[in-house]
Amino acid sequence: MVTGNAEFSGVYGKILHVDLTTQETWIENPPEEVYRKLVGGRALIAYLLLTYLPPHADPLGPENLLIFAPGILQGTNLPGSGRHAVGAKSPLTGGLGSGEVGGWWGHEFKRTGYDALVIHGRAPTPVYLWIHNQQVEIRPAEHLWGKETADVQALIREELGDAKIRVAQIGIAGEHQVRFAALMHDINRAVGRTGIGAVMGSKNLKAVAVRGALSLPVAERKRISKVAKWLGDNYLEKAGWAVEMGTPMGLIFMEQMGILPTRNFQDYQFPEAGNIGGQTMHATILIERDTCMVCPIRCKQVVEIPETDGPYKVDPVYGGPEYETLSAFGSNCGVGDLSVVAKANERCAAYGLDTISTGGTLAFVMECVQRGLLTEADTGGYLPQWGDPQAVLEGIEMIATRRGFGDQMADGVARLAARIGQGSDEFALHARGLEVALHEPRFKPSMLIGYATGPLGGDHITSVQDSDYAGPGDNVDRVNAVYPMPPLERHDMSEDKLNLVYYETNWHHFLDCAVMCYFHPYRYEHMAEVLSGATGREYTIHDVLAVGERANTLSRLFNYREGFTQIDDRVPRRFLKAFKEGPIAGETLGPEMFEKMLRRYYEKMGWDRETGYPTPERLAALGLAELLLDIPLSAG
Amino acid sequence: METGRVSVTGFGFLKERLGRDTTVPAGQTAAQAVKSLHLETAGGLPVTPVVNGKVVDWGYVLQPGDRLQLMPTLGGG
Ligand code: SF4
Repeated sequence: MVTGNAEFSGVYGKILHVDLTTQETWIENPPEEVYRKLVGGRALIAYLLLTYLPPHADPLGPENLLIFAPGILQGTNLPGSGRHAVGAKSPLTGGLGSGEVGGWWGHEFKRTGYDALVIHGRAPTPVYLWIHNQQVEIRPAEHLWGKETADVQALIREELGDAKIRVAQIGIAGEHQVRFAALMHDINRAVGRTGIGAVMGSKNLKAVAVRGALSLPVAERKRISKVAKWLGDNYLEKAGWAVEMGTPMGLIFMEQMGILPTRNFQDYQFPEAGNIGGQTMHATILIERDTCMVCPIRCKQVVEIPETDGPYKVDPVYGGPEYETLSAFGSNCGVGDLSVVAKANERCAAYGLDTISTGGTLAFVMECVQRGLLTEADTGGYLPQWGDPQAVLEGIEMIATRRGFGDQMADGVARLAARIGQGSDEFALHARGLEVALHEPRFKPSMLIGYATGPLGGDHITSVQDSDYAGPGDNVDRVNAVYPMPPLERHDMSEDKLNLVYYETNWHHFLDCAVMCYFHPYRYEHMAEVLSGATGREYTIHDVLAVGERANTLSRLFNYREGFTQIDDRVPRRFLKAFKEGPIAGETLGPEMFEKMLRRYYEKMGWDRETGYPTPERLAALGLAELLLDIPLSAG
Repeated sequence: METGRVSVTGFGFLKERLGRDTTVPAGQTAAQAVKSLHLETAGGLPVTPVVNGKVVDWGYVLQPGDRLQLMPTLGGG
C-alpha cells in the first residue's frame, strides 16, 4: 500500500464490500491511519459499524453489517497470528457483537488480497460466497441449507473441486436465527459469542469459502523472525500447560479450589468433576491434538467415541470440548458424564451454537424448574432436571431448531427471564444480555469490571482475571514494562490493581485487534517489534496499548449510540454475594466496592465519571476525533 | 512430618517437580515458601495457594502442621 513517502506494509490497502441485496461488490481503500491506529480485528469492526451502520438498525435486518477482520499480523507467519475476528451488531445484546477464532480460514482469506470483508444486505434466497484471489462469486446455497456443518464443508469443496478451500459457515442454528448462533470455521472452530451466526442467517448467507495465493508484503521480515524465534525457544516453558493438556487441565483444580461453576453458579464444588476433567478426557476419548495456522503449541482437543462404546457416538471431525464447554454442559448443568458433554460439544459444532450461551441458557432453565417457576404448560413438557443427559442433548436440538420451548430458549437468558418473571432475573446470569463465561467472579473480582464495561458484556476473554497476577510470573513481568508493581492479591482493590486492570484490559483488546492468540506468552515489547517489522512504521509499547484502548473506546461509542447507558454497566447480583461456606467462603467484591471500582475505572479510561461516556479530551488523545468526524461528544 | 514444618503438595506440572513428602518451615508466607521451592508457575500457568482446604492469600503466614496445596489456575481461554 503506497501512502505518501514510504510503503505501509502488512496490509493490501483493500477492504472488500459485498451487497447481497444488489449483488454489487466494491473495494474501499482506507487511509493509512485507519490501519495504523486500529490494526484490525475488533477496533476495525467497531470503526466500520460506526461509519456505515445506520443507528438503531435491526440486528437481524438487511441493514446490519457482517464484518470479517483479520489483523495486520495475519499472514506474517508469526506463531499465534493465525486468527481473525468477525463482528456485527449483536442480535443477542443489541450492542457490539464480535468474536475471534483460530484455525485456517483467516490466513487463507488474507491470501486472497483483502484486509477485511464487509457484507451488506440480504439475499432473496440462500447463497454462499466464493472468494478466490481477487474474484468474488455469489453462488446458490439452497442445497446446503438445513445441512450439518461437516457435510456443508465437504459439499462446497467437492463442488468447487479443491480440498484446500477453507469454509466459514453457519449451521441450522444460524439459519433459525438463534440469538447465540455461532459462526463455524473449519467445522470445529467457532466465533461463538454474541450471535454472529444469526446475523449471517438473517442475510440468507450460508457460507464464505476462500482460497488465495498471495504473500503478504512485510517491511522488515527479520524483526518478525526474531520474535518468532523467541517464541520457539520459550513456549515449552512458558506455555507448557497448553502443550501438555490445554484448557481442560484446569477443571479439576477449580473444583478443588471451590471455584468450579456448578448448577448455574449456585454451588462451588461438583463431586463428579473428576469424570469430566481434562485428565479423564486425555486418558479415555482423546485421539489427537490439533492446532491453528503457524502454531507449535497445538492446544486443541480431538475426541472420538465409537458407536460401539455406548449411546453417545462422537465424530472426531468436530474436534473436542475445551474447558468452557466441559463446565457449561458438565458441572454447570450438573452432568458428570464425559461422553454426554463430548456429545453436546459435537452437536453444537454441527448445528453452529455457542456452547457458553447454550449451556448457560440450559442451566438457567434447570434452575427455574428447580424453583418451580416453569410448568409443563409453559414449556410443552420440557422440564429439565440437573444432571439429566437427555434433557441437555434434547435442549440443544430444541434451541438449534427453535422447536417448542426451544423457540424461547433460543433468545437467551435475559429475554427468557423477562418472560418468565417471578424473580428469575436474580439468577439469569448475563451481563448486558450475554450469558457469562464459566469463571467464578467471586474468586476473580476484577472480572466484574470487565463484564460491566467490556464491549460484549459477560465475556471472560477481555476481562482481567485477578489470579493471573496474584503470584510472581510472566503476567506481572509483562505489566512491569509500563507500570512497576509487585504481584497483587486477588481481592486487592488498590490503585495498583486499577492500573493493572487498565493496562491489561487494553492489552487484551490489542490482542483482539492484532488478532493474536492469548496462549502465546508474548509481552508488550514483542508486539511493538512485530508491528514495526510488519508495517514499516515504528510502534512503541504505548502505541500497542493505545490500539487496545481505541478498540474498547470505539466499542463504547458504538454501544452508547445503540442505546446503552451507564445504567447498563451491571452484573448479576449472585456474584456480589459471597458463599457462606467452602474454600472461598466470604469472598466477594460486594455492591459498594463494585460501584466504586466501576467509577474509578471510568476515570482511568477517560470516560465521564457520571455518564460513563468517553470524554472529548480522551477521544482527542487517542486520535479518534479525526477518524470519526461525526461522533457525538456527549452521552446525550 | 517434623514439628514446625508445613507439608507442600503440588498438582499438575508441580506434582512431578515437588515429589512426595516435601515440607517447608512454618513462619514464612506462602509466597516465600513457593519462591524457595522455585515453583512460581505450573508450566506457565499461575498457581493459587490452598491451606487446609481453604484458598488463602499469598501473604498468609504458614503455621506448623498446615497442609499447603499449590493449584494451577486457569485464566481466560
Ligand atoms: S495455542 Fe491453541 S488456540 Fe492458540 S493458536 Fe495455538 S492451537 Fe490455536
